[in-house]
Amino acid sequence: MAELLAASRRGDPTALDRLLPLLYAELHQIAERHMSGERPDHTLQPTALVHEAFLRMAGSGAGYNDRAHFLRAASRAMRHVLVDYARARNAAKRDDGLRVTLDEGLVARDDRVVDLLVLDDALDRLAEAEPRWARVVELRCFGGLDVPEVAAALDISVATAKRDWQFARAWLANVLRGGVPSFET
Amino acid sequence: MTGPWSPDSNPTSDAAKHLRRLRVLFDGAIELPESEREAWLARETSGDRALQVEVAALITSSGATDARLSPASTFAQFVRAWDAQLEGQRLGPYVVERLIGSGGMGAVFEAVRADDQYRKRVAIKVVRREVGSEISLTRFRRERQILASLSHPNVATLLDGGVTPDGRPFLVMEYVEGEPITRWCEARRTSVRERLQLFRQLCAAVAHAHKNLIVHYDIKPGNVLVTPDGAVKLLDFGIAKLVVADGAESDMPATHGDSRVFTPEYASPEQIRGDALSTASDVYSLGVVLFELLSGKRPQSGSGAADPALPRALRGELDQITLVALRREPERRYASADALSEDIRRYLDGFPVSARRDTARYRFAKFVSRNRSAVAAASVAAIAVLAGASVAVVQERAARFEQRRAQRVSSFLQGLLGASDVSWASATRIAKANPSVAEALDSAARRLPSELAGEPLIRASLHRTIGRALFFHERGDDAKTQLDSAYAIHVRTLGPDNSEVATDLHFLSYATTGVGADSTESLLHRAVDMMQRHRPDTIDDYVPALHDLAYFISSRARLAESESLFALVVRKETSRPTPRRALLAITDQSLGLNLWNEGKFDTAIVLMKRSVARFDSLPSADLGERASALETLASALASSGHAADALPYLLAAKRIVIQLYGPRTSLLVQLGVSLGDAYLGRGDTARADREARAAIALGDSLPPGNENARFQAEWTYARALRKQKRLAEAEAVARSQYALAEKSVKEVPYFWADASFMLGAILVDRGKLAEAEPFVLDSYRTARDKLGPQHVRAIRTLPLLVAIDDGLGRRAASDSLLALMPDTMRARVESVRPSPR
Repeated sequence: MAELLAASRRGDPTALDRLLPLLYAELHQIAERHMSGERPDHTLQPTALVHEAFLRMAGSGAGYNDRAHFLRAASRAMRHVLVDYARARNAAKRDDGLRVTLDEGLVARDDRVVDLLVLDDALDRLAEAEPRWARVVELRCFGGLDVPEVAAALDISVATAKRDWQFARAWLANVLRGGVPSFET
Repeated sequence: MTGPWSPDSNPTSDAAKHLRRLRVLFDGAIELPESEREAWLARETSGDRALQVEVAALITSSGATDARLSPASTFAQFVRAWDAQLEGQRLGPYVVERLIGSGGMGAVFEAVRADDQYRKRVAIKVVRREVGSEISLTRFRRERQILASLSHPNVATLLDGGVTPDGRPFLVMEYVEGEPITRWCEARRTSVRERLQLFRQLCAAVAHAHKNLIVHYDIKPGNVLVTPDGAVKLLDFGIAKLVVADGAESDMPATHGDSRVFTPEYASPEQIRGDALSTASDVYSLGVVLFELLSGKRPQSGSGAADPALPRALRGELDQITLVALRREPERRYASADALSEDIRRYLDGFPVSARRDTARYRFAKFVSRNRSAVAAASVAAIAVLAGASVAVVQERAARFEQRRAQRVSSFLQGLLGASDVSWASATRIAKANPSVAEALDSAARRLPSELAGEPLIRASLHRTIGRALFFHERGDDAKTQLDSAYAIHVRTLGPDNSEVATDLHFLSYATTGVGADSTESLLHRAVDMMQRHRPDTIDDYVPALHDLAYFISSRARLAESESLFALVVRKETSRPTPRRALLAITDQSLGLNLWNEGKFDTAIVLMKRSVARFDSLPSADLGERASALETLASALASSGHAADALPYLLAAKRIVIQLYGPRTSLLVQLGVSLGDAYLGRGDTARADREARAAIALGDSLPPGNENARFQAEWTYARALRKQKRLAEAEAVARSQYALAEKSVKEVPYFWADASFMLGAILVDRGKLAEAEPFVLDSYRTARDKLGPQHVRAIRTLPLLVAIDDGLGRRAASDSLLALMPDTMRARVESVRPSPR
């Protein structure tokens, strides 16, 4: 993949063609990680998310220097896709009926639901203070990376990534709990 | 951004400064033992209480994990938000009111039928799809029809179905106001007897479906609702099968895999293993539900438990009944839902139950052995759907069902393989290579003769289906073998002159492509003629065959002939009770191409645009066709000097193709060519170069059979190089494309005229006039003789011939050529012509 990324940056169009399935697979893996906490009831296919994110990234025409760069961009794309849908959803009312058929395992329960719009806004505030903090959260929450992977993707030490995450997570938890009510509750 | 963080690196707002300050305090405080933090914080904040509280809160929060920040949570929310977009929208005659549930398989909405006076309430299930393995909408529709035929008071009726504007299939079901059976019983503390009576309603629903050859696959309390007045309704019949992506059919051993949809707690052992499924699998799930109804628990909640046992109070005959339903070996369970239900009735009525008798196992064994031949006949490798038929039904009504099963099997495979039933010419364009499907096909093909020896029509139908599928997978020879077998069987069993044989001839004509124009065309003629003798309006394949004949004739440049045939295609199709819109869209495209080649450019573009518009209004099963329509329109625009207009169509087409087939399909070779064309038309030679080169590289990596696409790619590249005056490279590529053309497209006049023209033109450019002459002459003669002397392909060679004759000192000969030219061309040629010595 590294070679292909480099070749595609040099303008080799076939490299990009060979790269696309790899990038797609990588995105898929990220999305699958999103599902890792879900019940194994159904094989949830995280395609919708991947698809959206992929189209966005493909549409942007940007090149990627390396896997880390790609992961950063992918996490960002995932964030934007999610937030856009939350925005679209914002006006809609919510109702958790379980009457007809029931993939109930996958319906988000209140205690696990975060208001993506509030989160998005909070991330912007974090980024204003220090962009890296927001990147860390993006990679963790939207990219599904663990802390060592985040460190690699941002080229920082694991200790720094860990501390960033610890701080950002604590701060976000307080923001999400406090002031702004979540639309899901 | 990647260096170590320093507080002063990013001077901004007060809020940002405050956050950075918080971070410093947080980092400092968290390092300290808890007992020292407060004092340290007080010191560091100079007594700022608010700040101290804030930092302390952060530290508290950092101790606990907030599940809301987990990826799973964000994703689940995404799924909900995505689904909820449909709220308030119309789907056909229905208005979606609210999202009821959302999950991996899809989302369920409550909706009302808006055009009804009494506003009928319905539930709509929108199926989620895996990109790259699209659910075949054709299959979806077929299965839907089968499901719609289920009519039973205990089955939630499937009312309708369709496709959302963004191409997701949806099902409209009777809206059931009710609760899952387990919860309903809990809430009302119903007696064991009442529970058993409810359960028997469920058995009746399942038995009814099994008699109609439909297996549920996902029986669980969530799918078994009880209405307030105590009626059981079983939901989602066959949905599990409907929503499984193609190529991952749950009852298909060759490709069993991740996409099986079932609920592990209720699934039979064979279902979990991914083995072939049958009605016995539903019997097992019924057993789990029964167990849970009686005990409040599910059996085997741990793993590897031995036979499940009911609580002591329920031991005895009920225990035996559940035990038999829950046997690990399918053949040892109750033979049917009816048998299970009957045993419960006997229990309720105080009769001894069959499960109690020691002979039970013996009787089952005997039953199975008695029915083994039926089972064997029904279990052709990739066709386990037959095993879904209750063996008793198969045996009892085998003869009567033969035709019907043939249809089902065939439609199963067709759906599985993504074969379009619209047109062969079009299907070839959307062929896709999927190794696991190809393997399944091979194995099915190998086993056909032995396993279905006694059922010729099923066999023929499968030969045909497999043959078609192999053809789509670009395996022409193997396809022909299969189609030949279908043809032979049909001739033997039905005689030589009927609609089945005609359909075989139609399909065979495609497997003979490349062998010779005559045989393809004569097969198509025979097919169409034969159909016309047998009430053509009743033959589904008639108009497609007609279209394909027209398309073939068009490709051989007999344009007047093909134009009138296309007119017939349109007339016949529009007079059908329900014209197939996809076929009309394809015909617009084919006819557009025809008109284009006749030089009727404006009308052609109108038709091509209409084709694109028609596809836009069609479901996404036709995405491949839509891409083709986009591409045709785009090339037409590009080559009529509207390159800028063409680009968006091409890019849209490319996106669809990648989405559907991934980046390694021959379709991208042709698209790359057209993109190169469009860029070239805009004067962007660098990009044209890149696109063409990528297309060629892709073409070279494809298996044999893609020479046509490769030829077009190289041809365009040669042209691009020529425009850029990179003549040495151009010559090399031109020779290569010429060699490809000689091998694969020599009988197609357009291609052959193009191939020889390009090589000749480049040789002229390089001053190799004598060498160029035979190629240019060949191109001129091919065009003149096959396409007509006024055809653009004939005319365009004249300046080259003039240059050759002039250069070789045959001034008089070139003078006579000038007379053949249109005025503008002559003027241009004369202006650059060296004056005679």
